[in-house]
Amino acid sequence: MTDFSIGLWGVAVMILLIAVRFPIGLAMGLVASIGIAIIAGPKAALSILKSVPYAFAENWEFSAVPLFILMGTIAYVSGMTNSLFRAARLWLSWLPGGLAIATNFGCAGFSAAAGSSVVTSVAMGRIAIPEMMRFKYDRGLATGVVAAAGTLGVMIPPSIPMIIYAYFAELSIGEMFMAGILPGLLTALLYTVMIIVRCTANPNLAPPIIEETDPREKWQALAEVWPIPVIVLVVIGTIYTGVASATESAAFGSIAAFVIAFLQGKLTWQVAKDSLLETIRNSASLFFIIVGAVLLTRFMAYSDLPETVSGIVMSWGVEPMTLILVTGVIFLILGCFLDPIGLMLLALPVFLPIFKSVDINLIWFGILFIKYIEIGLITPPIGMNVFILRSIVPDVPIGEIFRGTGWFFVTELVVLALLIVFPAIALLLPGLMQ
Amino acid sequence: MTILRLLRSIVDGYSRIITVIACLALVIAMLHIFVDSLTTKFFSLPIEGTFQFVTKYYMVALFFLPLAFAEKADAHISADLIYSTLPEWLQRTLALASQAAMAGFAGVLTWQAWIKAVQQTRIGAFEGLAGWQLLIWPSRWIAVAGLVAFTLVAGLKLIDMIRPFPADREPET
Repeated sequence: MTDFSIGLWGVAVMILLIAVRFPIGLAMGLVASIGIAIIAGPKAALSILKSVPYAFAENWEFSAVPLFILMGTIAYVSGMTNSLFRAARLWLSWLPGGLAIATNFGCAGFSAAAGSSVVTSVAMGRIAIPEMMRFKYDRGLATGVVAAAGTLGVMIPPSIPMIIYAYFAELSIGEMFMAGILPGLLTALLYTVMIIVRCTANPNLAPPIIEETDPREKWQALAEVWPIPVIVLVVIGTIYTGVASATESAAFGSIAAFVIAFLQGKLTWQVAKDSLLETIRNSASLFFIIVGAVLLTRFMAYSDLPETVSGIVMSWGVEPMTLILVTGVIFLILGCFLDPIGLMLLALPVFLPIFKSVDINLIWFGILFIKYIEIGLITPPIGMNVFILRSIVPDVPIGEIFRGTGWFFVTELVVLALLIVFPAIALLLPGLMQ
Repeated sequence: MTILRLLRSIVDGYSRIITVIACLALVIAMLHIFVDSLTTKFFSLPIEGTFQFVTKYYMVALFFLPLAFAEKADAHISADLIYSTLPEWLQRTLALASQAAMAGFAGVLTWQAWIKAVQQTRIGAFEGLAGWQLLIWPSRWIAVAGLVAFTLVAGLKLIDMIRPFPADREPET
């Protein structure tokens, strides 16, 4: 058997193991170790197992991840979402579908303090959905907007999947973060347009809210959102100006989140303990799956699978653009079955070498990649964000939430098309940084 | 079997202790990086060895020590493509195979980390900093400490799966 066919068999066995619910990190690690042992001998495999996990743990760039997870968790428990949603609600409720728009911008704002879509969706879902239900909003719209806008957590920096991508693609985390800002804002903006159009065409989706609000109350609510701008300033400001590396800005951000929670009198012992435990649990499970992916990368290199495939693709004379579209379709299909982080770590070792060899701008591709992940989060049957919402509002059927995300899915495809046609949307800000 | 019960409580206690240490590593890492950035940016006085402390100690502790905690909490990411459509006996067999593979994989990682730790300890591995040396071999033992707990927790879970309702098991609270 050639190395290439061992590689192919390895990928097939790995997918089978994942299908029968082996943890993804385990499936990758196991297949990679056995595959390397077959190709290069057991000694080589053991020596890789000896070095890879530790070498990854002691990586400076990646130390930003636990700190960003901590920052998001603290921001959530200290209730920053409440004030954000309240202000957005008071200022935007006059628009058609105003509460849904407020939720959308609330998610976008909170994304700047949280690195994951789960934290963003849970944090915003808990306060915004009951409020929209109270005003007789369509249940699909109310849940769909949180599920979809929650995915902004992975596009708007800081973002854990972006750090992982940057690590594998050997890019600067700061540049990746900057590249995500405009696509994230564009998505939030197009969501808003879509909500307004839909709610104007069918006012039953979101009955108008008639409320007398004191202008003073509105300004006061706006004044209370200060924690989020402070965090945005600390995290994005320090990275953009080059004052801090991603790790340093993550440390600044988590300290800022702690201090804000303390000043607001919300930093109890229980809150601190829960946030820390949640952070290290997430970090450890992320660590395990990434070690699996690094092992898989090594196995792929031994088997020459990515190089051979890219050679075949090149010999067909395929345009890079076709490659991007085909990858998109593959990811969207795989994204239906796999958790986004799992998909990402599974796909990167195979796809990145191919994209490197055809000279595609990896920052731009990274943003498309993140977009595919966002879309995967809301498409059936796996759509993780939808399941997360289901745990918040157990009385809304899963099908109804998926139907609610339908229009957001269409909007996502529009954004994706714009990003493909105009790479500058992603590349403008990182270009200004240099 | 009292030995198993004893082992389970030892492993539980040990996992808890190292999980607390991982939490402390997270807080200390945050403060250390923060203070170092401030002193570097404002007074051009970096704290010597910050990079080494963060990467060799805090992060190694932060990633390796809670592996057992994550394993106990079933926090490892998995997907469900065809699993739920399979007959029950096959589901049980696959779950058992998966847990056995997890324990075995964790065991091999522990074994290899152990060998590396012994090697590094023998040569007294260190990193030279301006004027002093930072020993880095102990950080290899942090990895071992986390992986040992990971293997034991995975192994105990496997035993629990083989013997679903052992008489010596404490009722779940």
